[in-house]
Amino acid sequence: MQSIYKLARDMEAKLHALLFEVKELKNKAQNLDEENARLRKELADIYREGFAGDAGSVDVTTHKGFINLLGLYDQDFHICNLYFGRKRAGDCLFCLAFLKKEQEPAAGQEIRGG
Amino acid sequence: MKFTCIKEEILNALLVVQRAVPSKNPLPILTGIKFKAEGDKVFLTATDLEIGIRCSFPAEVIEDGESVIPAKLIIELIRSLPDLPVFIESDPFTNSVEIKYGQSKAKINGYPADEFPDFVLTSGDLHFNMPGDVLAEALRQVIFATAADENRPVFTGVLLEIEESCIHLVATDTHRLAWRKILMETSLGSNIKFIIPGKTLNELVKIIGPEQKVDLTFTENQVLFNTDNTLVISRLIGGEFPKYKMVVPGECISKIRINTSELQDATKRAALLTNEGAPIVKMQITDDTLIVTSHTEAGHVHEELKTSRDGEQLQFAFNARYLNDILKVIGSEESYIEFTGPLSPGIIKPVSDVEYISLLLPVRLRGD
Repeated sequence: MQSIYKLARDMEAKLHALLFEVKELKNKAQNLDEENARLRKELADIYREGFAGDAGSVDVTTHKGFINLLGLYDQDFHICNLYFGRKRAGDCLFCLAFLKKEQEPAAGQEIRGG
Repeated sequence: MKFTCIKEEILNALLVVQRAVPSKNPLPILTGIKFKAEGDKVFLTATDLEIGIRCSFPAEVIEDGESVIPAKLIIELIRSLPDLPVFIESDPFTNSVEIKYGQSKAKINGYPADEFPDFVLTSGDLHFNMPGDVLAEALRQVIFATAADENRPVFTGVLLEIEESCIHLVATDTHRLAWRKILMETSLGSNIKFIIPGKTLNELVKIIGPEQKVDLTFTENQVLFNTDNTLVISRLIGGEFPKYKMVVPGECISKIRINTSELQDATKRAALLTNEGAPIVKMQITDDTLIVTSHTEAGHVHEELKTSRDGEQLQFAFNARYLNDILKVIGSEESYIEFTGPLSPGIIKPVSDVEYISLLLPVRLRGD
């Protein structure tokens, strides 16, 4: 039979492991919070620029909106409605289809490699 | 429970149901296979609570009953037996089973059968059937495009969408998309959508025999596939599948027709000389030739394949593994590859009557 001391030591080790996992989770949550805040700010800036830039010309606003979306996509974020604002790994069919749809007002723009 | 059976028959049934036995599970009883002897058959059941498989085999049942036996032990034991009739008898008081073969015997300790989770088969809202080979081929053509990332459950499944007499099977991991249509003889309804886990379908295609007919039954959150002696039940994935039709490009600017296996072989060879983790092969459409190349520090490959071209001359790059996944299942001697623009997905489809397309995004290279 295991001694109580050994059982307590095992339990201590398990608690340490659990504490470590909680810390990891806390870090991940913090990173996500920060990323979320940054994205919100970026989005807010985009809208502010879009509306403050001109009130008269719809075309220019749409064009700016497209450039901003392109910028977000280029920074490896999804811009499709499925995962808008989430980090992407590789190209996304849905983001590109969305960009293609929006492309007409900003024809001639290029997407950088990514 | 007491029965005698043929070794091959019990082994085949065990190998079918073991696909649902979880490798890791907090519930030890799920690492077991439930035996139920009834009438002239023995029913084997395994489940990981996401997917459940039940398979029956003929046996001379002496006494009805149930027992749960650890999957790994019973499979390895039966596999290693000589080709003799197998006699199995369970002891409900100790939850053990005795396996007798010739003059020898073995005893395996099991689990209480009444603790094994039962299949709950609710009555189906939608029911139809189709030939096993048609279903298996169609599923193979789309399953490879499902995502492995469990954080995005919708993409780990295959969409089954019904529009009158047409069944659409669609899978995408957002980098590629596979879409197969199956035409049925009668209308099954309209605007009906289910997302079936890719894992379930992966197991199903390995189970379905070519000559079998498969009955499909859908409830609100479960799907049931039933063949002659096997039944597969699985939960459905909740959520909205993305509007896949919007990613299919329109008019193409260039189209080639090429021998499928030649392209597959050339891509495989070119992929040998690519960087691990990023098997990118370059392709160039010239007059009547498709040039497949790869170039790394280790060396380079240059392959020229005869094609017939319609449209512009183009240069592009594909992930060789993704391209091969498609070519493996396209099921046609020749294939079409269509392009609508440098950033649009390539459309790969068979030169046949089968309504199948696969979309694959070209890889953007530095300087593109």
